[in-house]
Amino acid sequence: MEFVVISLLNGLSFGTVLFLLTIGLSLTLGLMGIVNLTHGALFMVGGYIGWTVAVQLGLNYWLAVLLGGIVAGLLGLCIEQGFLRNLYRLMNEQVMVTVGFVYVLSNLSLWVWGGIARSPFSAPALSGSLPIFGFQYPIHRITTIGIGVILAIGLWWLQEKTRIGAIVRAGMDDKQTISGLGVNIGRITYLVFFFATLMVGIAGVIGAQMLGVNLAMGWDILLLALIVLVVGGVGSIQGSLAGAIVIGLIDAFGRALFPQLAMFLMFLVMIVILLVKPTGLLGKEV
Amino acid sequence: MENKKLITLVFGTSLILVLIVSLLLAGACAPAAPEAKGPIKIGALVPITGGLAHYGPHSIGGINVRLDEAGWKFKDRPIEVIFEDDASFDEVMALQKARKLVELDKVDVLFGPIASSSFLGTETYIDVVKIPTLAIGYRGELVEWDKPGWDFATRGSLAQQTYQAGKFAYERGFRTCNTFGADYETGYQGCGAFVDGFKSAGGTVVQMEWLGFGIADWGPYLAALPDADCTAVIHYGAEMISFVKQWHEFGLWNKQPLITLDTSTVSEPVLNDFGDWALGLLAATDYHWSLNNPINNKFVPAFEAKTGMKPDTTSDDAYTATSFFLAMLEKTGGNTTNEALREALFGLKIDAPAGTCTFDGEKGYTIKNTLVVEVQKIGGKLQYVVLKEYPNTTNPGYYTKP
Amino acid sequence: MVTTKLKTSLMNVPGQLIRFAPYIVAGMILIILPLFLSNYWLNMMTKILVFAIFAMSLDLVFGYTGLLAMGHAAFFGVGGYTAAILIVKYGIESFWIVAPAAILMAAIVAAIFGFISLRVSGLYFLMITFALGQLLYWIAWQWFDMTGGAFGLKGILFPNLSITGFSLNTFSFYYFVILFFIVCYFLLHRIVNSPFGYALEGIREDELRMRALGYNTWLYKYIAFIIAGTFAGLGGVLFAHWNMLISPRNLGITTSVLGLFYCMIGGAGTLVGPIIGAGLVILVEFFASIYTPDRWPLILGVLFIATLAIFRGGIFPHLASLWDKVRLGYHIRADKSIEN
Repeated sequence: MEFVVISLLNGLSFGTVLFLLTIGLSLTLGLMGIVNLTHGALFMVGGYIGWTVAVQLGLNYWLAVLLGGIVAGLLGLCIEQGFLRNLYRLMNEQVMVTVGFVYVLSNLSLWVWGGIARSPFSAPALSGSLPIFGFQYPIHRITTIGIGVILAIGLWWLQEKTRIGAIVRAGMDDKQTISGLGVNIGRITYLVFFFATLMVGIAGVIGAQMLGVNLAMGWDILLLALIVLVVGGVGSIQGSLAGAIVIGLIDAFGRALFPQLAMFLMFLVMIVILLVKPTGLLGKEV
Repeated sequence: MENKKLITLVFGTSLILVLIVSLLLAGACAPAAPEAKGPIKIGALVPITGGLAHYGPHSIGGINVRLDEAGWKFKDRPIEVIFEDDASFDEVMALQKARKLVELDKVDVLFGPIASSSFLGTETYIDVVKIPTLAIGYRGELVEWDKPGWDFATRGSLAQQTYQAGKFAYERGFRTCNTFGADYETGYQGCGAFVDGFKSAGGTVVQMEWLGFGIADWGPYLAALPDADCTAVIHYGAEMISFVKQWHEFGLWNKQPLITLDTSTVSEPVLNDFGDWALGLLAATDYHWSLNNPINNKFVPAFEAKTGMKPDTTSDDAYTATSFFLAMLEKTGGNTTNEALREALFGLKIDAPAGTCTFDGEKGYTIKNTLVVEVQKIGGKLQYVVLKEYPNTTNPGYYTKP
Repeated sequence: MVTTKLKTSLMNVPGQLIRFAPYIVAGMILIILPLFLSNYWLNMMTKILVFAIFAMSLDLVFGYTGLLAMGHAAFFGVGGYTAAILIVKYGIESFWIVAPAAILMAAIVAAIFGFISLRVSGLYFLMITFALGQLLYWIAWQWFDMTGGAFGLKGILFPNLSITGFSLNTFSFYYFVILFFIVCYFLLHRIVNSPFGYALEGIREDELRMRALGYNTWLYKYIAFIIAGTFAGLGGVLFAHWNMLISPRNLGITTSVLGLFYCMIGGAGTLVGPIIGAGLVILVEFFASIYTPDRWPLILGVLFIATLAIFRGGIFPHLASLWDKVRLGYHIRADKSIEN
């Protein structure tokens, strides 16, 4: 019984990190048709910034989360404004430019922070553990789930109940019509892009509580994000959430029950979804 | 518009010209002919970029310090080192650089590359060109001890140090143990030898679990952990760090003492990242800067002066490899032919910062000291302290996944 | 009358030379130059050729058909692993058995992966090909007994041609690879300049229109995917012999991405572009890593970004159009002088 509860909590907390990671990817893909492959590198950079603020400078953890997000957001914005905007409609170039940035950001991170892998870190108040069924369970994982719930509700509300949410959703379906209706879709897209990479940076710092930060994270986390997108579906909060929870739980239960095959299970689920319902569990038709 | 065409013309043509010219130059410049009395050259493949980049400065520093001591010459010939980036885990790059060092720079000996996969990856080539290669970082997981070729695990093997740790665990009072090992050679050697040492002293093993790679969330494994007196763990890179952290977070720190089977990733800067809860962590290793012997007492301040860091196991490896090479030169009297150098290595005994190292006379392994250390707080900072030193250990064997 | 004709044709000789100049230069670089190179540079050129084969195969699917496949190294790696397993694990050394087996395996895997991937298009296709490539990477890593796990399989020497008394060395291996390279180029050239190839380009430009015209676009894409995978598999075999080692990295995203860069930097959809791209990137990577060992990935990344952002379409198309202007200019001048 305790095993099930612990695994459930593990899966949900890891799933929250995946959720935060993929919202941005999903939004930019749905609205702008761009797959930003720099996502993994930005996750890493966010984590490193968070480490600098929280550990090296010893400042408030939540400040670190915010700054990690902002720096990632600004970097994303630079990439978008400086390069992707000029490659409008050239999907292949856009994608490969983001890959080029992976090389650049990885090496710059090496330059700035050196090569040592960093230990996971969190806010001092959250660094303890709570007894659950005779087990000590890390508090920060529970609060991470809480953050996930709050953000999911908040973002869903933003998506469904606000004007900007409606614009973004409409933009995903039909950009021309909404421009015709007088909405400045250009400005919205760059706001969305900033928001997307902001979330990745935040995901990086929150994820660092479990994973730490190191130079090798980029491609692995990107792969997980893509699997979540395929499974959950692109273009909506609920899609990212569904995919993240499914993958998070597979990871948790899979690793506990058949450790060597957990990853394989994820690939299998992804392939099945692709063959049966290519747009994902809750995805829009893109 | 015209400007753009001009730029294209210039850029494109110059790129093609560069291609042609560089190939011609490369062909025209014959590689340096081997001179009998030219400098002695060491080719060092070190990780300057990539996932193992933090070992780069340690490797470079260790080699430089040893050559400083030797005055950068052997008898009347100067010694040169050519450092090349092995890009950590990129075996194609490592092999390419190895070729460059051997064929263009005409080095007399190779050090590295550092990652096991890259070191083994260059083995086929090294056997063809027959150049002696000394390991930095590589632990000898797959070296065929009975048939040594041209590459040598001069730093000893992982199994060597974890076997002793197994014995230590029993001496410490533990009677049952769990192990977690990375699911590849490093894990099998490390845990296999630990278990062997532990069982030979009288202990029993409860569970041997194998850990995967990729994004490291160990929660699921920790949730399923059975009871035992202690747990030994070996993984590589960042995975090991997050494992130890999560071990603490899941409240296992006070339940089951943890022994890490290597200190190269959970290094002292990382200990200080962790905080005071890490006190009491046990680890197996083969070097620590606090060792008290004449060589180390000279090495540590020199290394610190040069790099600003305290030396770690990689720095010691690099220094030791260089020492071995210099001793090989002594033995051959300066003869740098490949066969002579290789012959000279067998049976060679040197004093290294980690203690005396002897390269076996027939088999391809190093007899050296290994240590068990513990995390303590000294002067306000966390560091490892040597609990026990095991002198002249040998490689206990080759372990496969049980 | 006769003298004018003679004059014309004589004056045309330089014209003919100019027309064939690119081929002459290419021939010189690929065939004559290596006679003077040292082993090291021969080895480097062999690397360029092997990766050029890989890049050309990718160009079929990416440049000509417009499919952004991010897992092409899977087929390259499968070719390499099949060869390695047969040679190292089973002791089957003859190249004439190993290579066809490897190419066949690559084709089979391409058929399976193609079927799964082509269920979706656009960016989903990108994601699924990425993930399938990583799946193979993961399998190679886990299946220690067969694939050597993280360490891969080593001990692969030059191809054994089963000719008594003859074995390849660095010099002859280069010319061995050149043969395959020329054959691949020739075959791919025929494919892309056939109705099938034109159809692929049509699909790239506007798939809906092609379907409206009655083409079974899915089948065209699928066949292109398999052909591309097959050629990649051949590249993989040659790679395994060149590198003396095959490891999981050779199946994974880092190799796939480099293939895409070779295509795009050189010029996607031109077949020659990927060759130039491969040469350029490999040489820049090498020299940058020697002279700026700390920062070479940064330099490479900047090169990629700059070329993609500024040199749309890649280097080769720009050079080709430049060359055309030179030729045209010459012919205009030549014609003028004949008139006079």
